[in-house]
Amino acid sequence: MTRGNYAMPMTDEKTSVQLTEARVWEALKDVNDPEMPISLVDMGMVYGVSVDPQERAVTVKLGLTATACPAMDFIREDVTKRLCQEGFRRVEVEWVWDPPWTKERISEEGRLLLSCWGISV
Amino acid sequence: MSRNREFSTPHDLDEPTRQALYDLFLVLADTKHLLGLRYGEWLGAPAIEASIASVAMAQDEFGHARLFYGLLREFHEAGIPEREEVPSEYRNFEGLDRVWDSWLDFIAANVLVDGALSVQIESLQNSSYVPVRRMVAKILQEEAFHHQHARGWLLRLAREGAKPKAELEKALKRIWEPLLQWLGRPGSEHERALVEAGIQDTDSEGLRARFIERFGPLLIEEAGLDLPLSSDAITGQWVLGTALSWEDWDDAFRRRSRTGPDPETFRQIESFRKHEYPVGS
Amino acid sequence: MSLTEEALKERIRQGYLVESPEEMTEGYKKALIQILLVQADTELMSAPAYYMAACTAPSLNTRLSAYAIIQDELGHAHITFRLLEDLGLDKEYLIFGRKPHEFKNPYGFDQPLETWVELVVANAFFDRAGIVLLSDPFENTSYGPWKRALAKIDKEELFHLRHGEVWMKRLCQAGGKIQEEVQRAVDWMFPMGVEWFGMPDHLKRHTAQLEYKLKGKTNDQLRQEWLSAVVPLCEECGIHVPAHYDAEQGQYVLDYPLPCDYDPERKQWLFDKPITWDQVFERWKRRGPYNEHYVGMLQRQYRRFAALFDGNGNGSVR
Repeated sequence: MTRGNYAMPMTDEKTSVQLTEARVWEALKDVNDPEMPISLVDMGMVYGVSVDPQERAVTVKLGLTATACPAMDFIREDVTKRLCQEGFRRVEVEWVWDPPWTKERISEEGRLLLSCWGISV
Repeated sequence: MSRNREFSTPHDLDEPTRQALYDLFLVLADTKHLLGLRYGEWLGAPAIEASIASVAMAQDEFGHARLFYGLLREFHEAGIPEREEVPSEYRNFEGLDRVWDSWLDFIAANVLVDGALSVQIESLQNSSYVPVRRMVAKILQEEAFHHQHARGWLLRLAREGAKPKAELEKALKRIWEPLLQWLGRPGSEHERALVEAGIQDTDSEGLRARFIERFGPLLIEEAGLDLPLSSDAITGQWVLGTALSWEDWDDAFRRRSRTGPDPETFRQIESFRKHEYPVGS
Repeated sequence: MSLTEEALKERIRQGYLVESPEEMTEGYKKALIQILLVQADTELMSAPAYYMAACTAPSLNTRLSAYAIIQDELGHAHITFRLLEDLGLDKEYLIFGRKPHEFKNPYGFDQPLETWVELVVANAFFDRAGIVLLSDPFENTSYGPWKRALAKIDKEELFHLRHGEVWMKRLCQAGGKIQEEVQRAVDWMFPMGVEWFGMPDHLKRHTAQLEYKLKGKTNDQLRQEWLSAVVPLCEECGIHVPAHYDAEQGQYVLDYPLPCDYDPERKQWLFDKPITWDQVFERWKRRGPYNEHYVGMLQRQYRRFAALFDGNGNGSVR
């Protein structure tokens, strides 16, 4: 669950910090899969991000673990909320099925975290 | 032939192909939707592990139905009117109209219906229609689990005694013929349009051949079931012993009758519209 | 090497985790089975109740979310029955062999959940009760295998809770008739949640469970935890509940007598008819209107299927 994900204080409201793709990736590390205790990035669900700094817009391509994901709304909501904190005005989430998400996409750190929760991958 | 062409939206297709593809997607969407409903009814499977698997597979089917219903939206924008929401407009496989009587019906459908759906969807793997091509791999990845589940139960039932085996055969035979027909009528306008546009990689006879090549070894050789299907002694090719009658067959609906889901089932589908809740997108 | 009660309790007080039946006294094992059985049955019986409501889901997406929750609940039941199996009980008998009235789920899951709104409120209230009740042993229990199993269960229940809370807010924002419908559901489901936590501490404590540290908190503490989540949620939704925070006492207090009578046919609490806890236990024992129906749904195929194997010398379904 995503409790406490939004605790990060926003100190750079002045937008002096550039809206880069690296920053989006960093921010997405704070957004968890609503059904797993690890982030979308560690789950390997982030397939790509593209930033338009002029428009302050970002598109995030996400590969869901299952076509039947019951939490699409939650994920979209959490990603949007977190990236708006970074200073984006428009956040678009695009679902990607190709190539399909597989367990191999989970990061080393993700695996470690999941095993701490008693979930084997 | 336009094999090298690619289509990104229904607008790129000529009229007959657009209609044929719309019909295919609606058949797939409704069939997966109804299959999901039927799977989901098995909280009372004979073991709790099986109940969990049923609800899990139901969700997969809903997930796939959601993708296919999603593909249809652009067809409506391209001028194909939305269907009227009445049972007779539903295009699900006819073996899904009513609640299954027993767990054996569940397994029969798990093997045959899920299997036929997968054969049909595999034929879209290299489809010239890009939006569907992009989702095929994910769907098939999830279907692999369904096939494993179906295979495990089928072999167990067939090997654990004469009674369960006989009951299983009955359940398989109940849907055998309509299911083989479901893969399409040879020479129909629909298959001609889809194959010529490179949307589907083979015609209905090709799909049926793949289906029996895949399930012949399992049903006949491994499970030893008595079904009208055999392999040619010389060529080793699987041959269907059932002559399919195409009387009353509807190519667009892939059904013989337009009765649709029974009233109790339809009441559940209807609740999708008969409410005032803010469901969002 | 029989272990005395005192020696075991002393070990537990020192933070020792019990790992297997060999390390238990009869008293410990009995109390453990009792608490696990309540959990297993609660998870199990929530499935048919949620399924009934899922059949009224307003879209394919919402139906899908409901199924995901049902699958989780069945999974949690499965995990918990496995724990009971390790203690020497027969899982298959527990699920398929018992009569409806023998299941130990709370009275709330003997009630019909008839609409999407009731499912949403059940996720927000009953799954919250589940989280409160299970977070306690997750933090405090002396039984190691249970503690570890609860890590996964806890995470998934949080998803159910979010589902319930998000939907409750969404429905209430729509206002009008829809909000009124939520209010009607809350009117019967809120007191159901309050009663879920059982007898108040001053009347009786379940001392065995606390002494063996199977759980760490008392009924009233757990009830307060539940109220402190549920009452503010309802306030945010503009939904009235018969309870409020009393600053002087530093806790939530109820605005109606607990316990009181309930009319299950009309889904109505009779606040003007206070009763005793003995009468509550009698009502629970009589079971609610959907107890038989729900158990029937779960046991639907078992006997018929087992009969297929008669004469093969194989009665087992596994």
